[in-house]
Amino acid sequence: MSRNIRYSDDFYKSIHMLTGLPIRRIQEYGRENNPFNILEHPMVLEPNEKQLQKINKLNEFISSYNLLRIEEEQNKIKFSGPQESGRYFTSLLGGVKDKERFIIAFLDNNNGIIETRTHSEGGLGSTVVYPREILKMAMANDCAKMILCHNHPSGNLVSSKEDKALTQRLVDIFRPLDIIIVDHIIVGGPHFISMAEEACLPVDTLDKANYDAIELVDQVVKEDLTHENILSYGSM
Amino acid sequence: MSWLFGLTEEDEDEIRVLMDQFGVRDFFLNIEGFNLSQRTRTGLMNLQKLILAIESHQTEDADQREGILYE
Repeated sequence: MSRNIRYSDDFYKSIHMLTGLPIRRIQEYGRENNPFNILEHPMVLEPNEKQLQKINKLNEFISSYNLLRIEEEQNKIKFSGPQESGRYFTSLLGGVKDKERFIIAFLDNNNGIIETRTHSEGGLGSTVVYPREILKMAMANDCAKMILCHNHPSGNLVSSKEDKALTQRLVDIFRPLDIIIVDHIIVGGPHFISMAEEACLPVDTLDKANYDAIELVDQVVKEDLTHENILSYGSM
Repeated sequence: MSWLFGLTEEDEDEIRVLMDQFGVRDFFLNIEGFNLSQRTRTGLMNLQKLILAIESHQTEDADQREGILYE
């Protein structure tokens, strides 16, 4: 049975980069066979000694990864409040000053992280959020709650009208599905603010669900990029 | 992982700290966000693609099972 539909060229390329096996042979094999045979039964592609060594090491890595993951499942990171989630997201985004990034932590009923995903990455002062994609991730994780987070590359620690509007749009989508957005953390350099802590987190639906993409703009960067500021070297 | 793409000791230490902090899975899912050298990041991104493919393979296997429980 042909299985090539399920495995992207990126996947084949990653096996090629990690093992040194010729990419064409990997692709040809994967077209008609389960490409994981390349790792599980390495002789199918007749690797040389060096390639075989790499495949064996890669298998060791995969086993360790699987074991660690199972162990982590049993000791999930839990958020009891904004201080913990703020520290967690600040570690993820505190050093990011050249682009705006939007991250979501999908939580179970006990506020344990099921998965944290980088949803989008934009330029210096903006990024685009796609509600449909977030919905797909939330369904795949079967989550009960979510914490949203994005950074302001300018370091500005004020939640803007746009930040609140974006959160409201997502509440409008997820509240009817019984998925609660418990917080929206905004990271600026080594600091953060929590919209839940600041009591400006939308909780109830205001409008019907709208799945159009949403542009999220760091207002300080936007203002600094105005013509007058550029001419006068602004505050950037 | 040093054998995969020649990590320096510094890289390894940094990765160890990040994995402790985020857990192995979230570390791999968020590599783009970490301050690592380009070479290390590229190597880790290859592992990320492999991991995601393995996980989807495992999920597919699980979906095809009967779902019995041990007594």
